[in-house]
Amino acid sequence: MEEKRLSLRENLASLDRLQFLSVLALFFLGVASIFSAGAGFDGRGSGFAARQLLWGCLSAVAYLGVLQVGYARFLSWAYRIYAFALVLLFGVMVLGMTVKGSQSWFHLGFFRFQPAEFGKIALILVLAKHFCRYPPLTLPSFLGGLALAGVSGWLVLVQPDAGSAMVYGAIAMVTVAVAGAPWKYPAGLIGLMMAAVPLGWQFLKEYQKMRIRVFLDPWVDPLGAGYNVIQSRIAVGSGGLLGKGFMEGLQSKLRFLPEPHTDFIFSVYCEEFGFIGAVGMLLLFGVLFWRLIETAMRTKDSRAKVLIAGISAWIWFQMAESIGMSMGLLPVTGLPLPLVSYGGSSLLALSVALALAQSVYISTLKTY
Amino acid sequence: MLLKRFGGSPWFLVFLFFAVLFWRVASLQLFPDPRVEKQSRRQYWSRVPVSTNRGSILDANGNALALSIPSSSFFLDPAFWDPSNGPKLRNILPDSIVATISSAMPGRFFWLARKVDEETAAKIRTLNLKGIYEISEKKRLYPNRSLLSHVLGFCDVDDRGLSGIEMVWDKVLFSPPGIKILAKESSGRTLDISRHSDEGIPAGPGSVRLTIDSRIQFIVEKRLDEGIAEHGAKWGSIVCMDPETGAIVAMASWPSFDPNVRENLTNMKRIANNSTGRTYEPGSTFKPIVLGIAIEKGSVRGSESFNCPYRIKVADGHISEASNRSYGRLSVSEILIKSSNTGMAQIGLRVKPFDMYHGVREWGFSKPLEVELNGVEDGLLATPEQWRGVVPSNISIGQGLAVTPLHLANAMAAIANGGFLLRPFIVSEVKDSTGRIIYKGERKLVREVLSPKTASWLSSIMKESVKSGTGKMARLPYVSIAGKTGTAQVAEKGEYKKGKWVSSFAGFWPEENPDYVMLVVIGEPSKGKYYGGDVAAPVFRRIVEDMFQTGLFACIGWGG
Repeated sequence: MEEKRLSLRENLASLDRLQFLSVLALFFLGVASIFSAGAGFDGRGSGFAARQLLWGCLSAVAYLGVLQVGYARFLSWAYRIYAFALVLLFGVMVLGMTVKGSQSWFHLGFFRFQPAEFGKIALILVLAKHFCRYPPLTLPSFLGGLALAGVSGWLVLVQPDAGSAMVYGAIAMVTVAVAGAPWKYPAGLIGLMMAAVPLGWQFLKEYQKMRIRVFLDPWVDPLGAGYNVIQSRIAVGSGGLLGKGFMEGLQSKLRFLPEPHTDFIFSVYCEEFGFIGAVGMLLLFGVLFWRLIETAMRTKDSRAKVLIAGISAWIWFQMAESIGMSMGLLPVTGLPLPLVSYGGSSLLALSVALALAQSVYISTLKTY
Repeated sequence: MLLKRFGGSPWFLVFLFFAVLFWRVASLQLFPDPRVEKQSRRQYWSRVPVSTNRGSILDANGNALALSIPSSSFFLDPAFWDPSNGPKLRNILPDSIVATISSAMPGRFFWLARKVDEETAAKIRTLNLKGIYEISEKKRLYPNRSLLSHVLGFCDVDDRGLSGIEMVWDKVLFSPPGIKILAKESSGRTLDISRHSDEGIPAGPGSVRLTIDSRIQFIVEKRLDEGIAEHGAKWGSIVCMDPETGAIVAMASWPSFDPNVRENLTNMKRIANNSTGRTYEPGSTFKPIVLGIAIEKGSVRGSESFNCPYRIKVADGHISEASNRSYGRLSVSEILIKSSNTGMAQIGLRVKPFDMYHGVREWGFSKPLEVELNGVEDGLLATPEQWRGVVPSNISIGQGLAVTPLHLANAMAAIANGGFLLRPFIVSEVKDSTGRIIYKGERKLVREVLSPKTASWLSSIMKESVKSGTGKMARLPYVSIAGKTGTAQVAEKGEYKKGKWVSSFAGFWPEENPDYVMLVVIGEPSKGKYYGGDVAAPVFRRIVEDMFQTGLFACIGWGG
């Protein structure tokens, strides 16, 4: 069927406003927290917030572009996009600069670029298309789909970026379930993974083992591996009901919190805005998921359902992990809080993904 | 279709975790772990008291004599300190501190060095050792170094006044220590969170303004130092006052000290204020007062004359002239001009001991002076029951009693101003933190000790004494100076020692309407000269010359 192209004005007029507003609110709460986390008492590193705003502008342009192009076209290019992403991921292994022990960045002059973030979009697109052609109803097609996802997941894992690899895994599992795989396949896979935990422990690096130990009890190593867990709990805990107020958080100002503007942004936010603020942010994420799932339920395009399931899985997993580790619910991994943490590549990739979801929403409004 | 299940369970799965997060946020933020609270309290360097701005001490013209300036202090956190780094601070810090920090230390806080100079601070900073932290606080500075140091006094390292004006007015000048919250970073840096440090500190301390004119003080101290050096003296004192009000315009004491150098502050000889804390026998400078008492009591008349032999016997002792010769018959005024001891002894004997005792006390001697300074001695004067034998005639020539230089200068002011004994004062104005004046030093009459007629008569005799008597060395062609020399013997263990003298000169100028009264005391000169007219009078003259040339008074009148 031939679709009628909508103009940009028509697209914007038919946006899912609740979804858009919750995303915008999260972004600006993030900028405020990044500003506070970076500022410090002597004003060191206040440039992070400015750069995040710049990335926000770039992301807005990408958002509009994706809206104009429409999700259907992206799906039709899915295999090519995925192939390109694999090349980038391979390339970053060879050429990429080393950042904190893992090779995950392309240095493009004035800004750095993280292919693993775009790999997520590529993976979701290719899985949405692939599972429509080859629904994972039988074991071979189920395993085939997983193998397709496994290539990119493995490339990310060997960077090494275990955190992102887990996001890839979550995306694959959720999309395969939504695509209609019989319960026994994913359930069996999860069972196998559980069984492999004792074996997998052997393959974990020492710092990763320590992270899990301190997750169980941070006070075993309060000045080492447990340090950021404890500091993060102090930050969240000292916020109290109403918080200390914007720019008044001592934990980030005095640099007790490691990585305050990226991994531990939620702790910074909690210390300054308290329980009320934390609940508010959780509610904003709740609204976002409600709108995403609503979109998935509305669309009649099964590819779009899988697409949105993948996007939701991505955002949900990172949110759960980032907030969970801030509060000591989950072990520490270096995953940013979507839309809130400082990070240009992540913000850009998320805005492309959310624009795809908006594009699906707009398509459900069309009358044929 | 394949997506039927998307209706129910995904909602549940997605939002199940939200419930967990809500529960966790609530439990962490509303019911925090006590361990977390404890750790969070410990993380910050809570409450390090540091000195803030202490109030200024100003001279009569508003120049700062003592003020607070920013300075660096260093402390050490033993928890982050590696004792093997201790020896690196040798030659920068005192050995005792280096020894302490070179071995294991308990606790979390240790002052390494308070208020160090910039050079030392830079050295410590350059070492960049982990566990050593710098904070800024305020340091007391005396910009003119030793100028007026005895009057100003000094403070301890926590800025509490220990002596002088700093101590007497500590309530006004002291500013409560500021509380600094300092924090360690994992990198070992500290942050001085200044915006938190000023909370709860009152607007700022008050200020104290003195009657001292630092220009005169400077001249006085310079000339006193010269005089001391010229005559090899052991101590010295100069007090200069305004006779009309009783305001002290300069007060110097030798030996002196620089209060900025803390090592000086333990030297008791240096920090003693000889102008108020030391008593000495005034000798002949006391004679105008005795003569004034005798005239006012009616014991002697100005027109009388006395035969003044070289030596007279009084009861169990002798009074003899200092100049080893007989003056013959002298009028009362000539006795003072020539400073005849035997003459004065005869005048003194005319006055009943009880009247003489009260007369001397009425002039303020042997009594507290109510000046705004600490450590002011009363002086020594035996009660008349103990005045046996030669004592009354000794007192007539200024021996056998002890006074402070300030007492004597204040008494001289009464002769200069027409007979009014005033309360001396050195503080002109004290303001509290809000700028309100809470104290004002003012002219306060204690007693009229002389009739105006007697006062001007004494004054004219003292003018003549400078013109043609013992005080010739104080004479100046362009200003009329009235004065009296003094050469007192020093008693030790009840006997006057040979060869130990206190040379002094008390005077005021211009004689017609005095602007200033001044006493110069040079204690125990050791280079041959010891007469007050030879030792103290030239110092007096040089000060008057300097003050005239500086334009501190203008008087063209009496010549010769």
